[in-house]
Amino acid sequence: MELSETYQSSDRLRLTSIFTGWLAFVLGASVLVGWLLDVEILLRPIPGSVAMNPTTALCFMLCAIGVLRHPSALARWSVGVAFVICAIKLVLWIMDSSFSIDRILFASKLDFDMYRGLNNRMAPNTAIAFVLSSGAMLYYPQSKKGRLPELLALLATVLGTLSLIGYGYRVPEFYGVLKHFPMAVHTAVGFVLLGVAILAFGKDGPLVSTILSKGTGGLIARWLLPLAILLPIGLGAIRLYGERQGIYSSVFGLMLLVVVIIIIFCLIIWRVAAYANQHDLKLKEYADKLAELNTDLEAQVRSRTVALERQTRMLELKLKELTDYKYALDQGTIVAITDQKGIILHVNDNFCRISGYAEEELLGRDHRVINSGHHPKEFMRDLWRTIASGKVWRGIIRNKSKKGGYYWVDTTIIPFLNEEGKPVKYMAIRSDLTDLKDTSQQLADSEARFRYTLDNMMEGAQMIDKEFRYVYLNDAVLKHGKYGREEMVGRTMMECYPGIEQTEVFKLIEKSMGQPEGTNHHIENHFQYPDGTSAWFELSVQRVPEGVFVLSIDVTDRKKAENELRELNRSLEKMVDQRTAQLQASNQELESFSYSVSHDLRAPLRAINGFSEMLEKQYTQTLDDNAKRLLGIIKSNALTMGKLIDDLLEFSRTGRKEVRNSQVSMQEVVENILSDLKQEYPEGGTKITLGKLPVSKCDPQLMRHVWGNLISNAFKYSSKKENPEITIWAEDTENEILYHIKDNGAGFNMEYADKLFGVFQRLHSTSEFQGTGVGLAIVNRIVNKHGGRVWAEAEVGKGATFHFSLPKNPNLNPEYHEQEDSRTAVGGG
Amino acid sequence: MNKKIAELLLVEDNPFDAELTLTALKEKNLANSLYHVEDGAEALDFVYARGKYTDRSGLPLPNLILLDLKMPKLNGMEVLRSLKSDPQTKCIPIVVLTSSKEDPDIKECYRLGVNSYIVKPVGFENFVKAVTEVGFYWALLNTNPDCK
Repeated sequence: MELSETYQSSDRLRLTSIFTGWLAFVLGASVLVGWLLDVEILLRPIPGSVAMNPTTALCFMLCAIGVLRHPSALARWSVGVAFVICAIKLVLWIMDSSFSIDRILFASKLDFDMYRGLNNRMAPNTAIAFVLSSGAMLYYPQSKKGRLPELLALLATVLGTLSLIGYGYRVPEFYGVLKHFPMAVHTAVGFVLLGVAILAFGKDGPLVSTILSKGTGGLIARWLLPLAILLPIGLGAIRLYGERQGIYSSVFGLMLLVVVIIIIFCLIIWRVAAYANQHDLKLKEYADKLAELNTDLEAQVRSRTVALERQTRMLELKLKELTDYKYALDQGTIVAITDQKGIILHVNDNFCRISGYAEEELLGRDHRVINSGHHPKEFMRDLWRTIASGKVWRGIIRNKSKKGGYYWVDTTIIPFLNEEGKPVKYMAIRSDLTDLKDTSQQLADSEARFRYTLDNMMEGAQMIDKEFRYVYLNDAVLKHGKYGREEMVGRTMMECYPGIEQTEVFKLIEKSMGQPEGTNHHIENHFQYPDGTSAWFELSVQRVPEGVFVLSIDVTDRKKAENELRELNRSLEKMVDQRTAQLQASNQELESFSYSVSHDLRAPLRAINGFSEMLEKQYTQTLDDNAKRLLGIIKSNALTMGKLIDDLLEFSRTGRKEVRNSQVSMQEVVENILSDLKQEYPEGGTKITLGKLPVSKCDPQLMRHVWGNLISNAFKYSSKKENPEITIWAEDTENEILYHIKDNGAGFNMEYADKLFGVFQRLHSTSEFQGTGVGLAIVNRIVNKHGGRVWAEAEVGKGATFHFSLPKNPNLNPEYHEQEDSRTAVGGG
Repeated sequence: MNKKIAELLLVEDNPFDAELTLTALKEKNLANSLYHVEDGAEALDFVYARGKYTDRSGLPLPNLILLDLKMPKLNGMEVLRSLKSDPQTKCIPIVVLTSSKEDPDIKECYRLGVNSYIVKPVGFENFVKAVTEVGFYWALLNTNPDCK
């Protein structure tokens, strides 16, 4: 909000100016008409008062034109004329000249118009007012903002107003100067109108703009000004009236006026102060709001700034990326950019290098510079049609360099489209193919080299086309054939070798013809040559674009060697079969031997034992005690012998038995064995401590044997102790599970510990403890078969601890200790 | 069968074993009608009443055969096979006597339809016990409904 902005719109001011201007003009015009037609009311509205001088009326019209027609030349001239007339009038008046410019118009009529003995003339104050008014208007073309014209117009208005007050109060001094002709009443009105017209016209002057401003000052001025002017005038009129009527004295009238003015002004000041205060409050409110808005705005600006910065950063990154792409493109390829007519706008270094032209030589020209003329017109037309339709064109082009050399480029032309999809630029990216094209010759050389190699290599090579015609045969193929190369090339296989259709080789070639390229077949074939010799060949039949390519290798020697090898293998197999049969027979023999041993050895033992028994029973009266004792020894030895045979057979059986693993609950196995043994040793009162035994993967039947042996040993060897104790526990380690059986029995001497697990090895006499010395050998054999270990620690008279381990992954090395085991068995036997 | 006479046939080549068996059975009064033959061929002659046993023709078949496996001429297995494959004789309970539980033929015996087998123990007392128990069970208590 700008305070200098005027309260009234400039249109209203302009209208005011025009309106009052016209009034002044009409006033002047009507007075002239009055003079012309002698209309008294137009000459003097108040009968008996002075008439307006016709020159004055003319000056009103001129000044009014000056305001209404501003800034035309007419306006300037009119005002100028008025100014000059009045200035001359004043000068003449001061010089007291006899020439009077104000008596030119209607001079005859003026002679008769008198006022208090004075001829009708332009009043001096009227002339001053006109000089001021026209001066103001003259000043205006330079600036509407000037302080001076406003001041001049105001003074003219004041002069008019003073005259009006003079008429109102009937004080002639106010409208007349000394003894001169006074200002007419409507002249005074005319100056007020003209003054308003000029002030409204020059609205931008400091006075008017201050009064009309929208600010508080303007508002107060607009309130107070009319009051300050009209109130004293009105009050003064009332006072004068009262005095003249004799209602009150002059002093009382003055006092009354002063008091009323004081009261009214106090009221006005109070009202203005209240308004100003209220206004201040509002202002403060606005200021607060403004501050708030400002803060918001600042925050917004800050966030916008951050966003903008981010955007800028992103743009920078994008730009960097694009720059990198361009760099990469420039490094790797030949780049050119043209406008839609093909005029070159940009070329990169590669383009210049390969074409031999400098950049300046290329820019502004089209690609015909490097046209080699190699490509037909249709080719180029197709290129242009493609890219002009907005599509990418790809192809290989031969270009010409500045020096006249040619180079081949793989070209991609990309149209850049505008918003309507029409190409505005084309970018051509090329890569140099000249090296590739140059290699064709090298290829030809290389082919010749290969052909030479093919011709002379040991392996046979032949090419057969789709009609089974020989296309190529090398020397190796021809060596055994009955025709020369010239006789065969161009002839079909069937022509050269009638009946070949029936051979396997031909069938394979025929099959290969119907298959896709690259298909490969191998076959071994026995060839019977026309010269009577024969050979084995390995053939590779490969499908190639021309037909088939057959490579043949003479494998006669290899075949021979293979046959020999096969023969050898066959005889070897036979030998193995024989050996196996022999072994099986010997195994069978061994089995029937052990059966026979068990069978035949036991029969006599049975007889010895049985007949001794019968002898003892039938002759119990005749036999004395010693004879009975001897018979007893015979019987018990026979029994021992039987046990030995049984154990030995058991031992040999475990050697042959296959391990069948399953998840075995050792806890269950051991608990079962313990309950059986407790019945066998009912009187012992053995204290048994059984720990937690983990489940193990092993052969349940064999493992029962192991536990049975070890636990019954513990019972047996601790049975003579007073408080026999057996402790069984297990340990779970990383790779194996360890089982321990500890007793507090007879123990053994560690010196003989190595003999413990041998067959028939005993560390105690039979009279001490019964036994055959096979049990631990069997335990050892079973544990070893599971890939585990078994060992013992003992002290004579204090007890023994037996340990065995089972691997957690029994499949890893199941027969690990087999060899060691058999050695022990042999050593022990 | 009209009479419940326990007729046992012992097929045993070893005379000592035979005597021991007889003694054991006698002790339990099971040997009243006990016949002893010394090899497989003779056993078959006895059952089929041929050869020197032609006079047995018409007599009932034995109630139980105790059969040794290892014998000269026709061995126990062959005897078992021919008796168990003949519908006429397959209902005769046959108990195989063997010296060792190692005997690889035991499995085959079961396949052929042996009713039971006992290992002749070395200890005489055990031997008596084993033989008499099996004799008692098969010859006296068990009556096979298929047997005529």
